[in-house]
Amino acid sequence: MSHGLIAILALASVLHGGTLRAADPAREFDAKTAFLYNFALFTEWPEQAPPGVVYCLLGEDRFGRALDALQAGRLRGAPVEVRRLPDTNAVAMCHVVFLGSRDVEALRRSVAATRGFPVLTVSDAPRALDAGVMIAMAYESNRVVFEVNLEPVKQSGLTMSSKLLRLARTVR
Amino acid sequence: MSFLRNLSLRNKLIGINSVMIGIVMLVLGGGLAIAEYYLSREAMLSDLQVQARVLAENSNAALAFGDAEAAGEILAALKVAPHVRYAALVASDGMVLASYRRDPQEAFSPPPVPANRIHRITGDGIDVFEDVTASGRRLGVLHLSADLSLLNERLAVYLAALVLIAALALTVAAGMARQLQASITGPLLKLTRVTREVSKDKDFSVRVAVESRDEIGELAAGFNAMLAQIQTRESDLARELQERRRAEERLHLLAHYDTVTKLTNRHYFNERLRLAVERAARFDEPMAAALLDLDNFKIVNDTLGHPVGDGVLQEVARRLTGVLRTGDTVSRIGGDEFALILENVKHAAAAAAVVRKCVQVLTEPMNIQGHELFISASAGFSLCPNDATEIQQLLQNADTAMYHAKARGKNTFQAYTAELKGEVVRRHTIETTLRRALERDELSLLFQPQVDLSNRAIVGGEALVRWEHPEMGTLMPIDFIPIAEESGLIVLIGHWALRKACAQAKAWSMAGYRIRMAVNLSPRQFRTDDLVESTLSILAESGLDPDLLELELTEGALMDASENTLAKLRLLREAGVHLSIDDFGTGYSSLSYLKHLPITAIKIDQAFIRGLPDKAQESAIVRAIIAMARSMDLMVTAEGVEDQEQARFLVRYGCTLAQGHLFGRPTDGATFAALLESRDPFPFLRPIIARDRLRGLTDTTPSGSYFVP
Repeated sequence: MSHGLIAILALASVLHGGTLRAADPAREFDAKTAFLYNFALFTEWPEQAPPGVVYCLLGEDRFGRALDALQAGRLRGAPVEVRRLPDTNAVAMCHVVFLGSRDVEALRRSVAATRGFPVLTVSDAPRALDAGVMIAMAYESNRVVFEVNLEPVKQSGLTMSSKLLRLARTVR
Repeated sequence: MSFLRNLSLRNKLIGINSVMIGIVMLVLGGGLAIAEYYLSREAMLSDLQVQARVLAENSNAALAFGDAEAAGEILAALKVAPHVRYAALVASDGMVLASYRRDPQEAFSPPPVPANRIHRITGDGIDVFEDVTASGRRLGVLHLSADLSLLNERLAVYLAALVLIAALALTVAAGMARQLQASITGPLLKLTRVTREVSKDKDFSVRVAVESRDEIGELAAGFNAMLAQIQTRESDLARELQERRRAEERLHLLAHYDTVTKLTNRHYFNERLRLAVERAARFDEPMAAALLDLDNFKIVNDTLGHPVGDGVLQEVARRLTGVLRTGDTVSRIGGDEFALILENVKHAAAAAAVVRKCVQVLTEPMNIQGHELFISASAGFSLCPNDATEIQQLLQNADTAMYHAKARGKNTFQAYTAELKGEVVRRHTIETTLRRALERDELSLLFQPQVDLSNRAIVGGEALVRWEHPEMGTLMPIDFIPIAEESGLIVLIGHWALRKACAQAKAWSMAGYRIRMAVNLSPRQFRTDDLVESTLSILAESGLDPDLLELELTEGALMDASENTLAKLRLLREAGVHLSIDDFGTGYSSLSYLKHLPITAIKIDQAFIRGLPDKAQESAIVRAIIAMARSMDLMVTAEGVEDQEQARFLVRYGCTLAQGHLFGRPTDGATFAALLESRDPFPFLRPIIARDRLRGLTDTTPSGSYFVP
């Protein structure tokens, strides 16, 4: 088991411990990185999708170095990649796209760009689901919570584990 | 195990059955229970593992996202699994994300997660550890702990049920065994009962009714066969016993009855006498035993043959039976011996009356097969308990009495008396000591002078044996010679006397006294084969002139003498020995017979001399004897001359010699020698002889051969 993963899991457990302070942005994004990893863990990509999982970051990068921790792990038979994309052109090669934008219209455009590809879209912007994002995260009371929008998931050809859905605060 | 031995077969069978069933039930049930327990535990383990796997799968997301709430909800689903007491999701770092307790109050401290995550089974529970993974990534461990108490309870219930069922099964089995074993023990019981009956009642006709065809059936059949065999043998034995008894009865008859006379025999008599003597002693009822002997039966038997003898015996039996009183018995106990048992005789006279009748009834002549026979009998009897209380003594007494009756002249009877007894004892003593007398030199010879009546000279002497008995005193020949004659000792005594007498006569002859020595020759001695040889050799031994020896023979012995015996006498006479007839006149010898005998003298029995001269009959006989002897040229000696009157009579009628107290009692050799030496020992004879000579009445022819002193 790689050090990166252990770090993530450790992170998750730290999150779960609930000892984080609200004012600590680094902790928040460590937790969100762990969630990103876990989402991929309980999601299945269609057969034709390339092996491994490529994480792409679109828009504002609030993760910083935290996101790079993902590259220590392996998913779907290959090492995890993290890419920061300047635009939506290359989203087809991504497995998971985190949309850093907080603007709904901007989000809707990004989502539109991923439509037709098996790409899991995740955002931490408020009303992200309204913009058609599949999973919306939020950091509340030192915990990460998430909501799932099933409609776009189905359309994208991805299969999301019911166990993941069970953990979601709401499933739309 | 010893108590087993005392149990009946039936209880043994039931016991063995019960033990076997119990063991089978316990092994089977116990095995099943244990197998059930382990199988159940294994099933529970595999259930738990499946559950753990499902839960681990379901909870991996929750663990991945660190969602304790969701994890707790997932674990809470275990409520439907009653045996799970505890469950926990443990992250890789050991932190427990969520846990579940069936009973929150229960203080259960979960064991630490083992490194290899292998399940753990303890006495009260099973702990299962399942890795929680997602896409091959290990996220943590799910720990499930199940409680075995339910299983244990179930095992306990199972065992209890087992015991119950076993007890039930045993009860049922015992009941059935009781029914079934009756088919085994039933026949055995029958057998036992019959065996007991047979040995108690000895009834071998009983049979065992056992129908089963197993070994017991065979046993019963064998037993029955055995009984049949015993029964046959029993009846055979009974038949044989019966036959034997019949034979015994016949033997008894033969043993107790005399076949000739049909009287009872000696055997019966002895038995009967024993009873009679016992009764007499116990009830003081006197009885008598009598013995009766036919006097001359032997002659009849020898001369006329056994058929006539048997006829006589039968007639005697008939007559005796006729005169006996009721209750008296007569038995034939020997050839011509009969014995009587007379019961209820108050005194000797009553017994004597019966015995007298018996003797009398036999005196009447008998006509047997054409022969007229005169049979007489002598009898003796003795009373019990007066004379004796023992059978032997009683019979001996009767025998003694009978012996005396015979001695008294036969054809009479005699009651036993104590005097007879003394006689018997005396006789017995003499008999037993006589032989010793010779060895101890208790006998001695006495000599009685014989005087020539023509010249008063002692010309001879009769040798007489005297016995100085150490206990009985001096015994004369009459006391013991008859006994010696019977026992045969007379031959030895005769030889001894002859030797002594010859020696004495020789001595006197040497001294110048030619005395003829007269020695008695007993009938028994007379019949011995070597009479001539022994006599002549004794004579030669002594050197005595045969002319100086005279042998005195009894009339009876001479009358019975055969030609052979007479030849011996002639030999002796030819050798020079004189022979005389002793006690002449007492027998019934015909006078004409005398001339055939080689005798030289006769001695007139003193019974006749005693009657002289007054009794006419005796006087006539003596005169006749003297006359006859003179005519036959025989010398005559008068015996027992006691007074001068007798001597005068004898002188007058020409008697040659005289012997008797008048001339001297028997004396020893020395006294006799003194008598010989005296000039005129019998001076009283002088006038008698002188007067007779003067009267010229004597016509005696004095023997010139006599030595005259």
